[in-house]
Amino acid sequence: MSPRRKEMTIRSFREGDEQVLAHLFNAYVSDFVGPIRLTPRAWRAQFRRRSWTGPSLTDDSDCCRIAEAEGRVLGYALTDYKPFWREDTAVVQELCAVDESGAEDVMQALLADAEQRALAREKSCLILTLSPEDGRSSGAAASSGYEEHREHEVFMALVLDLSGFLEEIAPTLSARLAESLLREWRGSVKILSGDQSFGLLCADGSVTVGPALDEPDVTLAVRPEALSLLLLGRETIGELYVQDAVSLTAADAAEALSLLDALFPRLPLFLPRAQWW
Amino acid sequence: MPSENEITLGPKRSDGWRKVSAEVSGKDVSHLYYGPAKVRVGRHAAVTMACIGGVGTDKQHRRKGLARRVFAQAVAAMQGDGYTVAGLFTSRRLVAHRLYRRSGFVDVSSGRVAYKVLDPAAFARRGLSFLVQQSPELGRRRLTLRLCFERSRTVYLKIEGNDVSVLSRAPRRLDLSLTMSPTTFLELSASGIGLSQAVGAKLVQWSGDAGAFDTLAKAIAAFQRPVDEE
Repeated sequence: MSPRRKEMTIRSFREGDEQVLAHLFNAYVSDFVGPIRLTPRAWRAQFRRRSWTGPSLTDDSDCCRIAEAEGRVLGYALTDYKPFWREDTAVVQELCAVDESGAEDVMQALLADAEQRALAREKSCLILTLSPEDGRSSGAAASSGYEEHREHEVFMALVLDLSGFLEEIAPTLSARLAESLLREWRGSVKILSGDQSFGLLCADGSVTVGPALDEPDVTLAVRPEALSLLLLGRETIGELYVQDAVSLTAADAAEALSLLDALFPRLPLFLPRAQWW
Repeated sequence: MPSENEITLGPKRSDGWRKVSAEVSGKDVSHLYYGPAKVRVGRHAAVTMACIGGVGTDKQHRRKGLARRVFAQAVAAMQGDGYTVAGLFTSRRLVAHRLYRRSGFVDVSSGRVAYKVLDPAAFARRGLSFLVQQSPELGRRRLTLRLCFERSRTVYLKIEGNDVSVLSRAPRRLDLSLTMSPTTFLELSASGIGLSQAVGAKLVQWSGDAGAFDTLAKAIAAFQRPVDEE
């Protein structure tokens, strides 16, 4: 047991905690889905009233348990003790801890606390939902005797309108370019997929979306079935390239690949729970 | 069989959701709903995605291409409504997954869960009780079982007269002994896979009376979730 574990206490949620919990959630999730800024209000709104996707913190503040030491929040676990689909289980929906040494101890303590509360509510099984890329919760669960299982449930998506989608994500494309080693790159990119085409104009670390130029510096042809994989952060341009799902025409192919890797990294979509249904 | 113009697009509700449905003789037999949800793409962009849910086709109207036509109409309607991206949750085990893939949808992410059985006896009893409720045939037969979950202790149970009880020690006569992970037990007792299928996939090891095994396998098969549910 680490020294911190001795000092740590776990308590239930109190109104106002959302200020620090939203910050903690953003920092934790950003490690694997990219930068997220869920406001405290939005975080709290997810648990305003009971829904099939989660518990109500308004009715049961015990659903959210907060680990702290010397008045500082170290982590929290949010547990649904009444999932609609199986009455003898409880589901830990969020398990977050500050990113510092001892974080796994914090997560294990929160899991142990959830287990005790689940047993007190006559639940025979505790389930921890994990984001595919969340290695920290996964590690804490394994150390606490949990068995991991990949579910057959899947989130599927389709880009319906290439140009419209690129226009919507243009601010993100600009930020990605500006943060990359190719921030000084100037030129045009033409993206072709099926009967859709569109252009990206890169200059001064910014990306503008518009109709494709006739003679672009880079032409990327993407097989229609691969377009959503690329734009939604499921597969990188390099991965699609080796699968022969994309073809690239550029004077400097290596540079073009690096540019497209910077613009379209492997990064899962972030879908806040409250937004679904 | 309805013609193309019998696929109807419902009005947009105040929350932005719409229903797309196919009617046969004035009855809604296949439908889905879609509505807006914000998803974040990186730090600087939030995109309004068309979320698809509530997909269903009446059992007697499945395998007639209705769901495919409803889905195609819905995708066209979403484009008409100005959505640039659409998303849905489904299971890879459903026939509908193939329909979505044929429509261009791709698997973006799949979930992971971690389980811990807190009370193996209650866990086993609850799962078997559910099976007995669903399959009266199982309740009519007296069965003694040994269930061993990985990392958890062994549980002895007796099924008799629609009642499942936990035995405090090994019975003199044991009909069936099963070893599996808690997740496999959850899948077997909830909806997922068949017992023989699980044995074939080496998810379950068993020994004992073949007749008892068959009874249990039939009970599970009797209520298995149909793969063409959607």
